[in-house]
Amino acid sequence: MRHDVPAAVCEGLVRIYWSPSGEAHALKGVDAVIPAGRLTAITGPSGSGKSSLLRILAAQDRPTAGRAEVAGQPLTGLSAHRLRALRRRSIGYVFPRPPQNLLAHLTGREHLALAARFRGVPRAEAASQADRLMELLGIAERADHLPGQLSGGEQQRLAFAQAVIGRPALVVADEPTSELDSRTAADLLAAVRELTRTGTTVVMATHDAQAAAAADQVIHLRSGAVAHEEVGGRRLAVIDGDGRIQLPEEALARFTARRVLVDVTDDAVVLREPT
Amino acid sequence: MITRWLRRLRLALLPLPGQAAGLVLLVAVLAAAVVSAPLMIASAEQGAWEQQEERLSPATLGTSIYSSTFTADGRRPVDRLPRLDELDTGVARTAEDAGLNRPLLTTQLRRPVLTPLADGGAGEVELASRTGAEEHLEIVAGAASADGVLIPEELAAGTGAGPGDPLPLATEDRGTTTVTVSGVYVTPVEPIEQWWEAQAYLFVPRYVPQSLELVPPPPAVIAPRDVALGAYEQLGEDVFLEWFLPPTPDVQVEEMRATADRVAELQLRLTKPDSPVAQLVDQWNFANLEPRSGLLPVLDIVDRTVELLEPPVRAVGIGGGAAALVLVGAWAGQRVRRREDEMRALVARGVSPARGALDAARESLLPLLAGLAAGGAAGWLLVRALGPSADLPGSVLAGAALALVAAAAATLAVVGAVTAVLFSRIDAVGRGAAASIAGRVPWLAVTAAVTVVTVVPLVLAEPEEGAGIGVLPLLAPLLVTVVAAGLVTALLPRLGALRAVRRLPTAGFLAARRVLAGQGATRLVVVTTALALGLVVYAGALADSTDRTIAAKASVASGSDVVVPLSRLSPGDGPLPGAATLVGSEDTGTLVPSESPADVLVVRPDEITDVVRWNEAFADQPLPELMSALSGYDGARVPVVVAGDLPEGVTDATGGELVLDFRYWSVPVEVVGRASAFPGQRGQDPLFVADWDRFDEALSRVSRQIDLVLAREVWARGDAGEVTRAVVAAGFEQGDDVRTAAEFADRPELDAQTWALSYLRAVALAAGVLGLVGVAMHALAQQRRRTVAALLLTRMGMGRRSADAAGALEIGLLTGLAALVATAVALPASALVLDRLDPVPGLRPDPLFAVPWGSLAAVLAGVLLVTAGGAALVGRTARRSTGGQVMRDAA
Repeated sequence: MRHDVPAAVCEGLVRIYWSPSGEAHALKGVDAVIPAGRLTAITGPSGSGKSSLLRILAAQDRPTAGRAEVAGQPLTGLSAHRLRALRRRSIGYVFPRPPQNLLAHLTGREHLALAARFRGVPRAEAASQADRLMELLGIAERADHLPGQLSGGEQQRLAFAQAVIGRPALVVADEPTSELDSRTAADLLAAVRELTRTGTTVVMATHDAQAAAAADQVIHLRSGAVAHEEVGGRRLAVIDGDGRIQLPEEALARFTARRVLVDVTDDAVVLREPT
Repeated sequence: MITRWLRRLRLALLPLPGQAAGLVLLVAVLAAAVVSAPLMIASAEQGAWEQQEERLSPATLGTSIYSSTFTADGRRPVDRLPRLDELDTGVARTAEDAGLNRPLLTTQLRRPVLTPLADGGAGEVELASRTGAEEHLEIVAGAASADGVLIPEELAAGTGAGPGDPLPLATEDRGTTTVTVSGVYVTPVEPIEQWWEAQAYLFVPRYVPQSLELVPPPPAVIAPRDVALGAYEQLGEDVFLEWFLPPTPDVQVEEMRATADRVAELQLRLTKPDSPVAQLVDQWNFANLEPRSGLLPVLDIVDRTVELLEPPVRAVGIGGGAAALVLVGAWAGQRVRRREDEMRALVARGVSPARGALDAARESLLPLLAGLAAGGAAGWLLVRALGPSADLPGSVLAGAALALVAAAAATLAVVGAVTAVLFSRIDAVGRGAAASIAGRVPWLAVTAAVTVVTVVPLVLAEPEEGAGIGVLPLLAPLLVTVVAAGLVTALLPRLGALRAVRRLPTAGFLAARRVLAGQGATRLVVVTTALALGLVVYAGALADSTDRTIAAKASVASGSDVVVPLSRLSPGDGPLPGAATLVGSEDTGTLVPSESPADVLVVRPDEITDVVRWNEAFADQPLPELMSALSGYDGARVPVVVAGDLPEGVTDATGGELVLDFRYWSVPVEVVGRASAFPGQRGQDPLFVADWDRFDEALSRVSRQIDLVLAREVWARGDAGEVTRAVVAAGFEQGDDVRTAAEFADRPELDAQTWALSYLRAVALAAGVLGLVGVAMHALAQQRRRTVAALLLTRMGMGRRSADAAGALEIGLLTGLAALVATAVALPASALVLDRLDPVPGLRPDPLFAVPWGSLAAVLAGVLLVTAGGAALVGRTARRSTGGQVMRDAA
């Protein structure tokens, strides 16, 4: 995996759902870059478009407009068959609840073997990867246990191992810590960090501040658009291709009339409330 | 290693055994339904054959070949007689060449011969032979031998001859011979052994109308074949020959069909000009060899029965199979829904619907095989136990196996297709175009329209004689049930708003709200359960009504157990057996003033009540009351009871005083009673049942004699043989063939209808059981979905009893509602189509409706059972999950 090439790129992503009651604009032009080999968190309130963005990144859905590229493959225009092939080959997925990820009648090792088979990994290679992953995620001793015999945290680690086996370009996790206590969540996040160190790209939607804090990059969505990004502890506003920018909440609160004066100087762009 | 492989195999083929059990049950029902149809048809074919075999004697079912030395030109047979041995050998060889057994040869002289008696006179004797005769005679002196004859005791006494003595025989044309007596036998008397049935005339006295006496036949001298042929040659008298091929007892109909083919082959060989036996017949001028077999008409009856029965049985079998396939589809849907997390995970990993379908098919393989084995065996055993015959031919196995293979393929296809569709839905975001269009179709209105289009021609069409059960009468009530159940469930949510519901106790309120607010699955459960239970009630009503109708028509078709038509000139003055009466009839009458056809039946009111098989559906009054009205009449006309419909207004206009006109004579009658039908009524024309004495008086007034103008019959209860003998002994001369009530029941239409409806009933019962099990399964599924709500209710203070009661009430309401709709629709629907199912529309009465109390009781018992059992299961499921687990799963 080349770290200089992003694992996924979104430009002006729009997703509209049609229903008998009318249209719902879930994404209104999202620009985001998911860097390879990093842990990216997508945060935002309910209805902000996290799940829609996640589905598109997981190649489970196609954008209504805009460009989405996963593992170097543009999603627009892909047939259902090729979309499935992309998912199978290049994307791992982790559901929020452990039972959603695991089959009650398969042991940990059998889960990984099955996942590797889906991804077309040779049996010997799959076994070796499975051993390494379980070691890395700290569940090697639980390899032959059924999910019912594992704790919630162990189950989610197994889910990550299952998603990562076969080295997909991108692992998409939907609120993986939502059902875990803070200690277990911290352990899981540490394990996920270990995974990213081996080159795995993980993007996860989360409401959990602890999870967001563990991420290399945080994309905060609001009303179907990127409100801001946090990289290296700094909050960055995102300017889209058309020059639109989302102001932080506290900045937005100052402009009650929704009109602003923009002063551009040599070293700054200043926004002021018109008097 | 082996353990690991076994585990892998189990995971691949049977990951969730509990889920597979449902499929085993459904496939078993499917297999039983599709297998039972060809088995039932085969069983009916064999059953129809067995019925005929039981009813008819071997003499009727066997094949006889007749010939003689007698020629029309009156030439003496001297040249031909030495060729009899050659002819017999030729016929026997031809039969064996055609694949048949060696026939039994019966020979008899054309005319009796004379033998000197001990008193100096001469007595007539019959000289006859039959292959194996000595084994069917009771020999009281001497023994059978190859060179001696057997004589009856009477002849032994008359001639003084005994074993070892010579018996001289002579013809009127002075041909003579002497045979040696080897034994003395007891003359067989009636009831005569079946083996002798066709030769009973050798032993049984016959009625001679001229002398009004029973005259015994000349004593029969039974000779072995070679002795008989030698004697015939010496006597120079013409001989009648019969070769008889008896049917093999207790063989399958297939074997009899093969025998019929061989008989046809025999016929061809015997008549083929270049065959040795045909050349012999031609060269020596024997009478042409004519095989006659009763087998072919009997096989025609069997074929007709199958022809009438096959379409409805096939339709029911396929319908049952299709219904089971729908349930298999529902199971496949439920499989995906219960494992939705797993399916979503697979979709997220890029597993295609085709792969999902293949996995589902693979997991269905073991349950499928188990279900096929169980259902196939169950179908086989049930048809053997309950079908018309337990003796199923081996050839039906291929058809049954083919049906099983088709069922297996259909099951895999349905499971795969449903899984693929649901996989695609999981994969798709939002509603697809097809789903949107399907959602906008007003299915209830469409089904209602289809129902109307189907039912209207059914109601308007006239029943046809011998048409059998069509598929339409079976289908239409089901459509009506679907529409009615759909309407009821559509109205349920409106009832939910009623204030009375809110006033119910907690358990009742919860159950009522759950049922009344029920959408989707609940509606489907009510409709399908109503359909299944409706089928039970409908099949029961049709079967019971048909039984009742057939019983009534059988009573009408034949006046009593036995009907002996009498010759017009037969005097008869002796006593009839106990339950017997003499009746007269005429069917060429015209009713005045309406000029419509009318039949008359003249009876003795005091005797008829003990003789006829009266059905209470025939009239509002019991038969004795009707007959009292005849005998108690004191008017000037002839009192009559009218059975059937009179032209409208004719009795009102005349005050019941009518005239029966028989062209050369007429009788004034007065209607004193009405019935819808009367025993002995042969058609749809009204029958005027009159008192014998009053009718006789009326005829006397127009100078007519009742014995001469009416066709007379003796109606009697009991065995046909005994009645016939009693009638002859009473001095009556039998006219046409004796009719029995049992003959009516042997009609192919009746057997076909009775058996087809019994089959429908069995399949309906299985459908009913499945429907009720479906309700219980639905309740269980609902309980699983309501675990959080149930927990919250418990924490809010709802007691366990109330929760259990709510569960029981919900199941009870669902099944009760379905049963109510089913009964309310199925009973009138079956009454509606009953006319279309009249097996003998030419015979009164019209089809009689019977409330299927047994089926209704079965439905009620099923409803109670499933309510109790379902409630117990739901309660157990609710108590299994702990509060913590429920809340964690719900998070």
